[in-house]
Amino acid sequence: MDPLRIFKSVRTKITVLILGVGLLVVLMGLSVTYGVARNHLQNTIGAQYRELALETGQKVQLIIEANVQEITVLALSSDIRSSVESANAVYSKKRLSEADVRKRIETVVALWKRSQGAEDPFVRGFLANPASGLIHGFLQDPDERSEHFSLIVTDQRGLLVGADAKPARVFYGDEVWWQAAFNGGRGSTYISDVKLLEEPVEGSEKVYTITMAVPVTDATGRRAIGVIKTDLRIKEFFEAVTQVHLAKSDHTMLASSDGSLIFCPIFLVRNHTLQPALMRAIFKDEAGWAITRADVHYGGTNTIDGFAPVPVASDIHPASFNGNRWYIFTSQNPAETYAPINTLLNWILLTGGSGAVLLLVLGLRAANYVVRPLQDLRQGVKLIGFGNLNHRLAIRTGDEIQELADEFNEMAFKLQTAYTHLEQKVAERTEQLAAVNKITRTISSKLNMIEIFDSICDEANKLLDYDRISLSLLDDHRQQIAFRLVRMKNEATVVHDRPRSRTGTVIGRVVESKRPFIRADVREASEFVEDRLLRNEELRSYIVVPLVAQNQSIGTLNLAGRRPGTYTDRTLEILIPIAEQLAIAVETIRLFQETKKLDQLKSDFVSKVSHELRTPLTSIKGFAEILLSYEDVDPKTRQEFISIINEESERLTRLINDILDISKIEAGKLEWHIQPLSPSEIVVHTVKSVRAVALEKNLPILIDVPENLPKIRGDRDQLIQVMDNLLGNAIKFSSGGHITVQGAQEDGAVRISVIDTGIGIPAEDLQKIFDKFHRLGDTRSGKPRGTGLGLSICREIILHLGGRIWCESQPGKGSRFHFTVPVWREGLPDGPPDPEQPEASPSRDSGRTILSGDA
Amino acid sequence: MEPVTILIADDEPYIVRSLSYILQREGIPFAVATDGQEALQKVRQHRPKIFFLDIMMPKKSGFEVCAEVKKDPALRSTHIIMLTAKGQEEDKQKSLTAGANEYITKPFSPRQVLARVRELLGPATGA
Repeated sequence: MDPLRIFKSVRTKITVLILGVGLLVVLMGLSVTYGVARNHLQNTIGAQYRELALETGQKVQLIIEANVQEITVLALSSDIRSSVESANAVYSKKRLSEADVRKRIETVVALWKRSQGAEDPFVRGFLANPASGLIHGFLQDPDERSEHFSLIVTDQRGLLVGADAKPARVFYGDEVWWQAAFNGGRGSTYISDVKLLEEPVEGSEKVYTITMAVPVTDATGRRAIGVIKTDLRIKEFFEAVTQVHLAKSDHTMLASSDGSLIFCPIFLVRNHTLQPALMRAIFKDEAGWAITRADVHYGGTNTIDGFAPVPVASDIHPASFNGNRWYIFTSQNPAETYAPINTLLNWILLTGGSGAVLLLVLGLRAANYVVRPLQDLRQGVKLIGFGNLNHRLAIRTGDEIQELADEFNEMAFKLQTAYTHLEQKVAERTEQLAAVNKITRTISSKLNMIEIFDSICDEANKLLDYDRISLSLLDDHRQQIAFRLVRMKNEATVVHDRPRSRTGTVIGRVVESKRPFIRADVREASEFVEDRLLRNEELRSYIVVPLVAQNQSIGTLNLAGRRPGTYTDRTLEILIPIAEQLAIAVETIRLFQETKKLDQLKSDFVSKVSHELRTPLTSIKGFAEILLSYEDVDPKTRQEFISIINEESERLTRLINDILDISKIEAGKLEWHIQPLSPSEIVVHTVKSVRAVALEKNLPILIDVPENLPKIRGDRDQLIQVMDNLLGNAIKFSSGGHITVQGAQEDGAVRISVIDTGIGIPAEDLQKIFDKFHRLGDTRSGKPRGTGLGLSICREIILHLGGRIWCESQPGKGSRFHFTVPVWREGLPDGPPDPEQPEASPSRDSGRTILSGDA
Repeated sequence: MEPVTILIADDEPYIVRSLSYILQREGIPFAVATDGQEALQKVRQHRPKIFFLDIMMPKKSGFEVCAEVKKDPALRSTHIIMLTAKGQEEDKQKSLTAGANEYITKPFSPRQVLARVRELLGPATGA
């Protein structure tokens, strides 16, 4: 798994944990708040609504009682009583039977129906008595009586006694209200349900009313002698109930125990009945509050209802209120009821949310705080693991992570110490080995050099003033000081053979300019390395003279003295001849060593030449002797032997010529005729001369050398010899296929390639074929043997002309010999190139160079 | 087939030809090898009485072949004659160090060689 993801997940875990705890707290707060607040809210609102219902119920009772009181007061007035008594007198004076009474009532009813308005004399008889006058006066009071209308008084049988205006009827004895109020002469108060009167008074509009009736009693007040009844507009009741408000959507209603709504501020009454569940909850004798399903006006559960029964006086007739009981109840839209809680919850959610965001940020920071050191730790441990033992973990958290980091640092330190120790040992050992190696390598030459140096020092001792004398010699490339011989006065010579840079040294400058340098006092100068070094040795003045051999600086001779100004131009007069002598000596040693090397090469050459010359000689001598010894050699064999002798003689001649050639070239004694030459002409010429031999072997030679190739700079005879050699080899080592000669221009030169399909050359031999006397070939083939010098001569010629020669081959498939010759350019001297050029002076490294100037 | 008495090892075909012509004429059975490895293989195969061994041969030099033959107890009686083109003291010394019985310097005389062969083989052979 990707380590980064692990750290990411640690961070996530920490963050989620912190966030989770935070959210849990918020959720707990929310639920606790919700529960407590809801309970509290319900209790508060419930209690309020109970009080409200109670108050409203009492208010309704008070209105009822006030109105009952008003008509009771009327009933007690003497005018009413006397009018009723005088009406009742009819029944008692004439001793009428019950049937007579009924007949009389029917007569009155019939007469009433026939009457024409209030002005009818029959009607006027009813409206002109004292009772009617009182009622009229009562109803005329504009402030107090506005709710009353159709106020009437009846006698003991229900016949109209008096009224304010002409009522629709004259007999009321069969009405519920009359029978309840008269109550068989015992009298009682009657209050009707709310009802719709279509035409309570003639010509009036229909109106919702409540009917109230009380008995008119005799003087004792115990016996009912008539009834007084009023129809009340319900406005006062309605307002008393419906205008009660605590909040926006709450409303107080008056319901009847039969389930019908009597007053409701929103809907028309009687439009619906209450659900039984709600009725059971609120129709109770005691005031209280309940939580119900809201089904009145607003949907939803948990509606809070406050309720209270409307109290009634004990003397109310049971038929009152249509035999039911009235209840007040107040309820509210639950949405509003619980709105504060919701608001509260919203607030809590909002604060909780903000808190969560804050927690998230804090959590992330906390996680980073924990994770970052871990990451640093991991990164550092990884670095150390990869071998960067210098790395140290910089963790300062002051906790377990830091402890861990410190332990890693400790470990890395120990590892580092161990490694450094090991490295030091390896370096020391390597240095020792290198030093030993170098000393061994240079010891022979140095021994001679020290002898020479010592003799020079002895000589200088007599002539010059010095405290220190040294010889610095450059390496072969003249770039570094290869080694130095140093001798303090009257001490032994010390060899310093560690190569040193010559940059910034006086030696460097002297070597470069080939002119001596004198420093009078090193304390006054510090431009060179020596100035500083000598100062450290308390030497003040010095002189450096170049050693020049063959016009090249090979080193310097240096003297230094403790006294400033030791060396002057006069010193030079003595020192320069010594330096010249020394340079010659050094160069002589070098030349001697080189000569020894050349001598070895030469003796090898001589030995090889001897061997090569003796081999054909042996054949010649052998067969000549056989022919001389045996006279009976058959003619065919004789012929064979004579051919061999001839062939080997030719080989001997070739060999001698080749040896002479190569000796001449190497000795620089060959005469070169440099001229512009056409590559194609040389190729065509050579191919012509060998074509006959090739055709004998059935080997076609193809020439692919464009005639328009540029002229090359070469010697015609030598180049023909090169081509002869290469073609000769190609023919010799091919037994089929064909030979191709190609020519092409490349980079200031022309390249000629001789390509054969012969036996090829093994890879290990490719390196040696240009060496002298290295021969290839099948010894059993009996083919004419080469001299082993042909390719050697080719190489010498091509190198001398400034070209390259090399070979590519695949054994069994053929070989490709290539050589290049520079293109002719006007203005260049006709003679051979500068013999100083290393590639043009092959004598020095002949026998070593393998593939010619290919390197 | 007669057992091989002489083995000639030389990479120069004409030298081999001249020696083999003489031996053929004299009726001495012989075998020929043209490089060092072949020489070693044939000397073990034929166990010749006389072994003409050239020094400068491909694959294995005469000195190497000589040293190996002298290490082999089965070839103790083989008489090794080194053929060398270098008449130098160095080669002479090297030949003897390698265990050669004698050496002949090229160019040599076939008659002399024949005389030496006869001497070594004794009167029982030849003619």
